[in-house]
Amino acid sequence: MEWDWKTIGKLLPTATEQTLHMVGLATVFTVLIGLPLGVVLYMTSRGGLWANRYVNGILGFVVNIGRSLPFIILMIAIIPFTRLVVGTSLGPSAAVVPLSVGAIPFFARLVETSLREIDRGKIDAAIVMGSSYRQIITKVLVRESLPGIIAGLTTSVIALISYSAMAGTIGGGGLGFLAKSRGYDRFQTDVMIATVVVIIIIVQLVQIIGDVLARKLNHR
Amino acid sequence: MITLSSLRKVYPVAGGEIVALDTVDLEVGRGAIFGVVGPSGAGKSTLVRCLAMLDRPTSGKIIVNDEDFTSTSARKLRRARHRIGMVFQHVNLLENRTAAKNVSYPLEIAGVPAAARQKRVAELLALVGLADRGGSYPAQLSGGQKQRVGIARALANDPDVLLCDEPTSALDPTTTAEILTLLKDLRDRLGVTIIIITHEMSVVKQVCDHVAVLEAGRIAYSGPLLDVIGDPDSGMASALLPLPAAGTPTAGRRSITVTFSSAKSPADFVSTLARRFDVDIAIEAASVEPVQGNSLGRLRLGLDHEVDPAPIVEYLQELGLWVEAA
Ligand SMILES: Nc1ncnc2c1ncn2[C@@H]1O[C@H](COP(=O)(O)OP(=O)(O)O)[C@@H](O)[C@H]1O
Ligand SMILES: [Mg+2]
Repeated sequence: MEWDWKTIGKLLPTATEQTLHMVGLATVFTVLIGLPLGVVLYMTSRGGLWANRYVNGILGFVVNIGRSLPFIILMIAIIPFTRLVVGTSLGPSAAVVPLSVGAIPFFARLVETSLREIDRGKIDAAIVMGSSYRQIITKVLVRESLPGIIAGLTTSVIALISYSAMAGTIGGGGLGFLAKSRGYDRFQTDVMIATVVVIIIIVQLVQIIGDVLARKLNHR
Repeated sequence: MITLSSLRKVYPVAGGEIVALDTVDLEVGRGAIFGVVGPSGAGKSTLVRCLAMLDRPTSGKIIVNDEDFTSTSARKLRRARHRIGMVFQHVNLLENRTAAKNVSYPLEIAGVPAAARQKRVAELLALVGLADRGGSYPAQLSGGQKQRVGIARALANDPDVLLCDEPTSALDPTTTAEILTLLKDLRDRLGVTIIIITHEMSVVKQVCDHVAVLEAGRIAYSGPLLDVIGDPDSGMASALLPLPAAGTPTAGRRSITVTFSSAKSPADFVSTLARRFDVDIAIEAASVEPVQGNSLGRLRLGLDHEVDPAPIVEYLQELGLWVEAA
């Protein structure tokens, strides 16, 4: 097999950068919205400090819809929404919208699951010491379950990388687009292999960073 | 110091309600170590959750230091909470904070500046004998050490009351004794009022000076420990000083069980009794323990069948002993 390093050298860095751009921004939105959403899901659940059957039921329903749709369908279904937010449905920036919408409910459930592991006694102790809800959430709930939340975020980011490749094939750009347009459409196997290697490296790095961070933060 | 008046807590359940606390009246004096005992299901946990204001009582008042906890606003309640420190059976430390940071938590909440916090944390850790373990995480501490950190944390804001919910129930006997000694020492040095909720009679025996017996949501008995023990109906004497079960009764003997406290009765009553009535007395079982600087004991005495027990019982009662039905 011929290795066309010139083409790879021209296309791969741009595609990698686009993928990192999509996944990076989507990760930021996933944390900014998914973390509070996970906390609210936990706080409003039965026996929680803000126990509310209706709020919890509605949020849970919406989150489950987000989680039950295969990403490729979700992405197509929300194209009008994406156009509304970004002005276009093409390109890496536009892909951030469906990526975030897909990852937020996923991450929120993982956050909720991590919070459930916290012993109720710790929350009681925080209340007795006079903590406000805000202090309970930041200093007790989120801090105590941070290792689990980081592990959940790692899983979510890796899912985002996988979603981003799908988004790429229908106009998002990035490594997924490169693999399809060159590797599949033009039979450039060398480009294909190079893409695969870069994705594997990115996923491995994310997993390693996530593991190290979670371990560092965990003192149990 | 603490007054509970007509405290009631009713839990609604499917098809009715459960009265967990039924008009509880209780007075706890300043500087007391007050034990609350009772069988499982008596309402101990409910009482402690009401006292800690984790649950709102259905009716009645909780007055701490002249402040009515039951009618304060949520905002004031958070401040009032600094008047009460709480120690838990499972300690409930934050596992991702060091011992020092755990003790620091209530100070952070109360808005104490960082420098003052650090100084106070060092004082508190020294107070509970863990001056050198501030940097350890809970997972690196033993059960007893964790509970010491829990006690230091509870004392951080100089509370008037230390509320201890089964503080030693998860600890072995040696560590239990150490923690109880620490609590007593803290009461002596700081003058803090301590309430201990427990199902362990040995805890009451070791540290409490006052006790309340909770039964089916009501205070069945309460008062100074020796008074409650001396009340034959309270069942405290047999609970605190259990005697081995009587074997097959020796032919021709009858048993009488007596309880005595060195505060009230002469310690040598057995020999006095023998001389006075000219009888032989067998000691079938005995349990004698120091309680609050007194020697407290329960004996099962064996008398010959021929002997009429009535005047003997009468004499023992005159001496201040309590005689259980034979
Ligand atoms: N949240 C609750 N809902 C319904 N019933 C309860 C609840 N908590 C306690 N109870 C009932 O109240 C009574 C007292 O319980 P509790 O205070 O836990 O007793 P203790 O701690 O002395 O074992 C029990 O009959 C128990 O079943
Ligand atoms: Mg209980």
